[in-house]
Amino acid sequence: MSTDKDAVATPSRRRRSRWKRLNFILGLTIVLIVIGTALLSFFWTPFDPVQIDATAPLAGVGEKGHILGTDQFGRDLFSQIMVGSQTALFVGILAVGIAILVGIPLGGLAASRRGVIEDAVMRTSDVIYAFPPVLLAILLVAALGAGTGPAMLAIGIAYVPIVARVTRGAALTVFQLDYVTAARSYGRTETHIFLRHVLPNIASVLIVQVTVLFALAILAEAALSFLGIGTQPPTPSWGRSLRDAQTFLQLSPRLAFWPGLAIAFTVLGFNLLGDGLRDALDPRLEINRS
Amino acid sequence: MSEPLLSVENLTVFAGETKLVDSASFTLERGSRTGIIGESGSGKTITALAVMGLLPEGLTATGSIRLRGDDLLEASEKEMVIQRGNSMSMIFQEPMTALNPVMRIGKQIAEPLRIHQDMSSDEAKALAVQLLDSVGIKQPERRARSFPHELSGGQRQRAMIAMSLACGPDLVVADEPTTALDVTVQAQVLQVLRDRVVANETALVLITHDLPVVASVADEVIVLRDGVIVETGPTRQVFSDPTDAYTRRLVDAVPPMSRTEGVPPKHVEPPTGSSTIVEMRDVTKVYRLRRRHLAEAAPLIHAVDGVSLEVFQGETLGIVGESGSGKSTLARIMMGLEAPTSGEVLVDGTDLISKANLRRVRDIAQMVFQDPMGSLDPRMLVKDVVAEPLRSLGIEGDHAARVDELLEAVRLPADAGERYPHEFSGGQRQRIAIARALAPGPRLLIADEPVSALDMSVQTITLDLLDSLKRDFDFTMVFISHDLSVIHEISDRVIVLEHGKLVEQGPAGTVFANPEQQYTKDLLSAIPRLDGSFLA
Amino acid sequence: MPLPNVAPPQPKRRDPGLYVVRRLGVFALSVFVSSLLVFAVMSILPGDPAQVMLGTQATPAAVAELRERLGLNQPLITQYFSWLFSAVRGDFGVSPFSGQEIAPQIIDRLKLTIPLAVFAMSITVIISFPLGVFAAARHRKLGDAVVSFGSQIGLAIPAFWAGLILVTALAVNLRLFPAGGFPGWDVSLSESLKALVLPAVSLAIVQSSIITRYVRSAVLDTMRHDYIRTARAKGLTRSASLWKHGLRNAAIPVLTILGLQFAALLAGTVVIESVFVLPGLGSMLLQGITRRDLVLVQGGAFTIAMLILSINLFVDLMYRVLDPRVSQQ
Repeated sequence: MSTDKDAVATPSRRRRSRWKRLNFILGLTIVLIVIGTALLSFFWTPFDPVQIDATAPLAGVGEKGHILGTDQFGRDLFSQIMVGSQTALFVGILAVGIAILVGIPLGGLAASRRGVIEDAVMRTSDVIYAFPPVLLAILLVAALGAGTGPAMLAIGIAYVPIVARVTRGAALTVFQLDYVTAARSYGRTETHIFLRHVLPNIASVLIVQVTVLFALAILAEAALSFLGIGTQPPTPSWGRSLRDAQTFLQLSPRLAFWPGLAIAFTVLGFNLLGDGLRDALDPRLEINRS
Repeated sequence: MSEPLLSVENLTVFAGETKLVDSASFTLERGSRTGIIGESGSGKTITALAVMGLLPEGLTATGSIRLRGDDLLEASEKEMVIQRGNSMSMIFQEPMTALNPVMRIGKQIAEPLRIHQDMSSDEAKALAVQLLDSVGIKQPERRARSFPHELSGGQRQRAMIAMSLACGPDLVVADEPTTALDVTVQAQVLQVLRDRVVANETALVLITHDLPVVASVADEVIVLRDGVIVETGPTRQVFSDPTDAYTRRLVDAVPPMSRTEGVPPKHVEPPTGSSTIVEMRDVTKVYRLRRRHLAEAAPLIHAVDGVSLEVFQGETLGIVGESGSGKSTLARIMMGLEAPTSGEVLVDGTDLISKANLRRVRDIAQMVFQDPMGSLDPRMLVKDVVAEPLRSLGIEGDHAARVDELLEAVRLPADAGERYPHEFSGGQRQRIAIARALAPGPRLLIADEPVSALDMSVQTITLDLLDSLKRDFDFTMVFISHDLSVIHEISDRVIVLEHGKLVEQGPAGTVFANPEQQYTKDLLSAIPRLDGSFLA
Repeated sequence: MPLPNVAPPQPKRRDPGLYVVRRLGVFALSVFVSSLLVFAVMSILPGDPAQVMLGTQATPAAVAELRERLGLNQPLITQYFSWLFSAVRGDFGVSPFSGQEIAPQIIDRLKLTIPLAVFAMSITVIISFPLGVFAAARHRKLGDAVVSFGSQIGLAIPAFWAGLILVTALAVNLRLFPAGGFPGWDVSLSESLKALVLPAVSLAIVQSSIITRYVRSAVLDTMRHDYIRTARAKGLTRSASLWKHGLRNAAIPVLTILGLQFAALLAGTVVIESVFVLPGLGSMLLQGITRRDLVLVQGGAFTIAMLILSINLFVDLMYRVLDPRVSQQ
């Protein structure tokens, strides 16, 4: 009822925001660098990434103008990593896209209808939860053959329950609020209420979740390509490069280092961005700022 | 006189640059009972936490707080740990969250004894059972083995009182200890609290926004406003003859029913004989809970149990009841938001059973809710919030002009429409919600606890506003509240609900002055009065 | 629709048996649905499984023979139920390639995969619980910042990359551990354990970053609760209130996450087994894919899914032990 809590929350939060803002800026910078690299690699790379150069297999760092050296076929590693960012982002966008397009309506439905429908949606989610991306990918690849498509589909399906769960959780809170009851009382339909009143108010939670899922999807794609059931050659992919590097680990450990670093760098960027966004978009903070 | 028990001098609490409490000075004698009153944001809780040395991170206190001569602000954390729970202890507002949900009650009460009096586990537990008994908990052995969620709200708060008194402290600070409780439970808990501190010769600081509660327990009172003490003195004197203008405003905001024993007369002739706008016949709403045991059927809750009532055109019908009385469910059924399990509901002659008829109800009835934070979509401009029902119900005309007219009618500034809900205070937000409800020109307004979340002075303003709007916009009102004084003030006719059943109904003046049912009498006698004529 | 604010009926201990029965029902249903899923992916997706297994150059006669052997000529429903009834009895059929029973192979492979996952989880718990509590206790101080940033880095590292780096550093260069392979438990217990150290550490790097973050936020969250303030008002020190009141409450959400992450770990072993050339369930599945042995993949995938569902079941039942509030609806 009448507490002084609002007044108490301010100073410590402000300090935390400053710390979080650093995360946000760092994350955003990394993500922009990755996106920039992907876009740039459409027009320009130092070498043709798939051009085999028999004269320079396993060239070292800086040899013959290869910034990070070459692989066993003499292909330029730096160019491969640049183009690999396209694959990473592409898979991320489509996999997360699938997860959102299916997960948000399902979660919303569960939150608004409750009862049997909710139980059905949530129990199905639980079951899909038992199939991590790698397992789903193995099943799909066994039936469809290896490729970026089945990998993407597997990752997307595996993340549907995550999105559905988060949507439902956040939406449940909003559906209990009086402005939803008010909207019902002046005759708004459940769909309208979900789109107009609930979704905007849980958007921040979802945006944060999507950012984190994006990072997870990139990791999953790399793992699948590493196993040889994701992106297939000659399309460059970071995970695929690591698979190839494994054979030459003793000769040239450098080959296993740089693509992995590219993955870690990108994932770190998206995670930091998600962390920063969580703070920036927290709607409770908006109330306190007034 | 000897040295006071607690002396606070020039206490100032900073949150960064802001002063939450500003140069507060007061003293407490041994065994005294003092109330600290103020509205939300007045710094009363912060003052209490400063005394306990439990200020949240980021807040700093200057000045001095002396307990029996020891300066608590100077004391190290190590020294404070010895004082807390031992020579001074605290009772919090919400006993459900203030108790550890995964620890048994007895163990929680035994904890201060084990820390400060070096008792063995068995000794402390045995004493905990005695303490539970002393605060009037029946079957104390069994309750000591219960978890907090297995107790009722009143029992939990009694357990908190037992815990705070375990080590026989010199000072107990109680922060809104009864705000979360029903009025009859509040009366019992206040009685126990007062009796126990008197028996233990413990000094009590009672922090609350509720003046009559202070009047029934405290001898001295301190009035806080925006972190500044504006008045102190003996409770009776301050409340009967306040010297400060702010104190006077607080005192004036106390509804007539909560002022003195007996019921102030009310001469309103309910418009009987006029036509009805709502008729309910034998309405029942049953919720089925999950089964608890394999052998037993799923438990049922009769939220509304065979209620028949009418709402007459033009009247204000007050529906009063404690938590679990089914008053909100009744409102939702009236609004067509929930279907009754059985019975008949007619709104303006239309049967609510058929879904097609719901649409007609939307044109007739609108609703105002309790929580001013939750009842407005934070992402919408106020003008859109108010215009929403017009759009939804497809009402033609100049929406912008209508919105302006409504905002003016609820006395909001002209530019209010262009702002977001969070830029307004609780009272203002509630007026926005009223404007929205009035937008489609309803003939029936259902208000579910519309002022319960507001400060007392804002309550009065909002009630007056509703009353005058009712005349200007010509609607019938169903007003739901747990607060008898509020119901008394606004209603023409009253219905009393208990556990889903209609207990008593009649003109407000009659029901309050000459209640026929024991339950109504109990409710009335549980109201704390400003003149202190309440507890035994 | 939310229940109205109704006074709780007189508190009565719930019958724990009912919950267990209900939860077991959900488990059985989940196993059923996941079996449907596994079966559907393999049987309904385009293409004749027999043709897929044998490749494009197979003779029609060979395909027909395999179809007959796998029972593919029967209606889908019959196929499914005969598969399901065998599977729940632990019979996953015979591999059309090796001609061997699949179930014993799976059990053999689990003898590596499960110890690996448990090993990795133990390392994770040992690292992340103290770190998470430490970070929470040092909230907004240097220690917290270091742990938070460190875990952020750990989260970003793919486990298989960590494996490759560890192999390069500790196996190839320093020769402290084997770079891969597995001697077998009955050949040499100590050598077998040693072979699992690097794989387990690789898995634990990511997992402990995740768990550390959860422990930290669960503890911080608990510390914000009113009952911690009550504990301090009783005279408990800050750390005593954390130990006596905070940790048990924080354990409840952490346990859930541990369960979920154990599932992630099981999936992670598939990848890590490939880095370290370990004969576990994951490498069996990958072999199955390369040989297009659908029967083998089906059996292996269903096993992993059942393992994960069993872990979830266990976590849910543990939840009841830790939280007396039981699932109040």
